[in-house]
Formats: sequence, structure tokens, C-alpha cells
Amino acid sequence: MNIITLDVSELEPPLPMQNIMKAVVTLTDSELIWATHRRKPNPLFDMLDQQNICWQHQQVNEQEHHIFIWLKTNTHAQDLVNSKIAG
Amino acid sequence: MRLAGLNFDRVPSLDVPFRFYLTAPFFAVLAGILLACFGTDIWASRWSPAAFAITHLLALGVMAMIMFGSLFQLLPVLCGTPIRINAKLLTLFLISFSSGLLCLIAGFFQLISYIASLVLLGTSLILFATLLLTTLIRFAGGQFTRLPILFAVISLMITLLMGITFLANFSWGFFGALPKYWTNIHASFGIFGWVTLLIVTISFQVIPMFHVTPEFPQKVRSYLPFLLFASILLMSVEQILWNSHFSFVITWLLLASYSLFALKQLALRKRKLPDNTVRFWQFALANLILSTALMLVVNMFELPIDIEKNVGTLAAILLALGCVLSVIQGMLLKIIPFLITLHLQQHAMKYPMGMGLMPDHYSLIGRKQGTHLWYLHIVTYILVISSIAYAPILYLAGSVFTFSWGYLWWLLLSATKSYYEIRIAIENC
Repeated sequence: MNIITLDVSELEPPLPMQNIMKAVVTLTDSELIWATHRRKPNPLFDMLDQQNICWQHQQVNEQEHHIFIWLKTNTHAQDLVNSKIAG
Repeated sequence: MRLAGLNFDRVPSLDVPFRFYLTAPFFAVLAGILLACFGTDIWASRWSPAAFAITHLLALGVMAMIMFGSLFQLLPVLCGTPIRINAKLLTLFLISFSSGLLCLIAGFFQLISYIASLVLLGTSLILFATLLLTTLIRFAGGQFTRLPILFAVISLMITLLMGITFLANFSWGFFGALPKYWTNIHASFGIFGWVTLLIVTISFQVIPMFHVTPEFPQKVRSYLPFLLFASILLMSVEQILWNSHFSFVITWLLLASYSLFALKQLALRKRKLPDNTVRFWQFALANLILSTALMLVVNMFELPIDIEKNVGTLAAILLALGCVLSVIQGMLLKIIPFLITLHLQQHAMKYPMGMGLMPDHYSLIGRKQGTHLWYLHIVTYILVISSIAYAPILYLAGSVFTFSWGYLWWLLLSATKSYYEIRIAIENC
């Protein structure tokens, strides 16, 4: 599985969402996006839900959030995300 | 709570805040034209028709207009609830508010009676403030934002009710000549309780978000808005009971402490790239400290009448032009491209091939254009201050002010035009 890591935590809005969405539109079945953000990006989750794209959010602390994004057809991603979140 | 609760179903369509953002520069331009036309009359007396007209064009037409538009955008984000008003009523509100304000200005020049403005402006603003209060009391959440915004809206309501009473008194003379402290209290609730308190509360969210700074300390976010509102109440009670201003020390200490905190946060931003909005914020915060310090001097010490008048005028300029209008111009430069990009992003999700058309937000309002606006603002500021020493400079200051806001208006309209063009291009992908 190819993990695409994105650190948008030091970018000013709207760049965090733009960068993540650019990666989302080219996402394939064998890829997982692992984004680091300084806030919980609720608008992003709404957009992903509208497109039926899977995501999981992990709050590390008030200023560090991890977001995992993958396609529904990627059957192995959920296990990998669970293992990453478990540490 | 940090921006929790943002939901696209609740965030208003782009045209809702933009109606307010695109109307405000019209009133600023009108204020600039009046400044350029009446020039020396303005500083002759705070009671002159031109001084009244310019003050209310800026306070209602620019400051309140932008604040209303921002509340439509921010309440869903900060408090998890929209302002519940349908499109037709919103249009009706904006028309009656704008036309009522024009009637008020005409009334100050004794062209028409105050009755039209009482009906149009008074009714629309009171109903809108009531809607805001209901929304905040019944539906809003948000640990650090609900109460401070509620205090700001209560201040707006007090300002409005006092203003309406003054207008009714001008028209029918119920109370005869009112003591000067009543207009001071009206102005205090308007500028400190409504405008400044709202700026303080919103800055706790937007400075860390847009400028990648550390969060404001939780105690500052929790207590400062409450203490500021309490200090304004205390000032009013003191003026009514003893006609003195000693409690202004507390207000000054709170605002100066806030400004220093905010300047420190901006200095700690992670990416120290040149940013015009940061310049506007730093300039505004420095002016907030200075203007309130000057007000403290006027309120605490016995000064010769002409010096007291000039220092008071300078303090008002620093607060209105140096602080509030700086924040407004700086935030418009930042928030307009942000909102346009956010809405285009959502639209592009329906047409993924159009994702490549997403604009860089600095292509909507460029850095160079922001810098031009910054210099125009600084030139206006210097000219208006200089006019205290030599009043005829006001004719030039009014012209530059008009040009500055006309330029901002054009930038906003161009960005809005780009939004609709890119939206169509995305659909055609």
C-alpha cells in the first residue's frame, strides 16, 4: 500500500484543504492519504462524505490532528489505519 | 471548542455575506465624498450635520454592515447555528437598512424629517438585533464565543435603542436637551461594546487560524470579553450617577492588555511571510492602545478646552480609522479569497476534472493590490490626522479616503466576478 503523507499544519487557509483535495482527486485503490493538520477540518469531512470517500480522524492534541483518507474500493486501508492509530 | 460544528448544510451561500461586504464600500465612498465636500466643517463641531453624517455612515454603513455579513458567516462556524432568515427577508432587511441609513443622513442635513429613518432604519435594525439575540440565546453553542458575541449584540441593542430615542427626541422633543453623557454612553456601547468586543472575540479565532499563530491563552479567551463588557457597563453607570470617567482606566487596561497579547501572538506566527493582513492587524492593535490611552488622558485630567478637543478628536480618529477600519480592510483582503476558494472547492467536488481550475487565493486579490490598499490607507490616516493641525487638508483626506475604499470595492467586485467565471468553467470541465 502506498501511503501519501501530507503535512499541512503550517499552511494558512485555504491551502490545507486545497492540498488535501488535490491529492484526493488522484487517489487510487492502492493508496492512502495520511494528512497532518493543526485543526479538525470539518468542511473537508463534509466534502469527503458527499463523494462517498472514506476517512478517519485522530486528534493527537489540540494542535495536531491526523486525517486518513482512502477510497471505498481499497479493502486493506481500514486495517492499516487502525494499526497506525493504535500506534 | 476550536471551529467545531462547521457544516456545509449550515454555512450560508456565498452571496449572503457578500451582499454586506459589497454594500459597505458604497457607504464608505459616500462618507469620503462628504469629507471631501464639507472638509473644515467636520472638526468645527462634533454636532455639525456633516460630522454626524460621516460618523453614522462609517458606524452603520461600514462597520455594522461588515459585522452583520461576518456574523452570517461566523455563527455557523463558531456557535454551530445559522442566523435563521429566509432570502426574501434578508433582501428586505438589507434594502430597508441601507435606505433607512440614507434617510438618516438626509435627516442630519435637514433635507427630510427623521420619521423615514426611524421607520426604516430603526425597525430593520431592532428586528435584526432581536433575531441575533434569539439565535444566540436559543440555538447557539460554542464555549468561548457564544457569550462574548451575545454581549456584543446586547451592546448593539443598547446603542440602537438610545439612537432611536435621540431621533425621536430630535423630532418631537420629548425630553428637551439631553445631557452630553447620554451621547457618550451611546458611543461607548457602539464602539467598545458592539464593534471592539466583536473584533476581540473574532480575533481569538481568526488570528490563529489565518496567520498560523499559537492559540490565545484560554483564560484570556474566557475572561477578557466578559470583563470588557462589565467595564463598559460600569463606565455608563459612573457617568449617569457621578458624571465622571474614572472606570475608563479598567477599559483601557483590558484593551491595552488584549492588544499586547494579540501583537505577541502575531509575532509568534510560524510562517513569517510578508502579509498585508498582518500589517493591518498590527497597525490596528497599536492604534487601539494609543487611542484608548489618549481617551484616558482626556477623561482623567483637566486640560485646556482646545487641547482637550484636539486630543479627543485624535483619539476618535485613531480608534475608528486607525483601528476598526484597518481591521475591516485587512480582514476583507483575507476572508474574501478564502470564502471564494472554499465555495469553489465544494463545487469542484461535483466536477473532479475541474479541480485543476481552482485558483490560487492570491490570484483573486493579489499581494501587490493588497500593498496598494495598505499604502492608500496609511496616506489617508496621515492626512486625516494632519487635518487636526490644518483643517483644509481634510478636502484632500476625503478624496484619498474615497479612492481607497473605491479601490477596495473594485478589488472585491473583481474577485466576485472571478468566482462566477471559475464556477462556470468548472462545470464545463
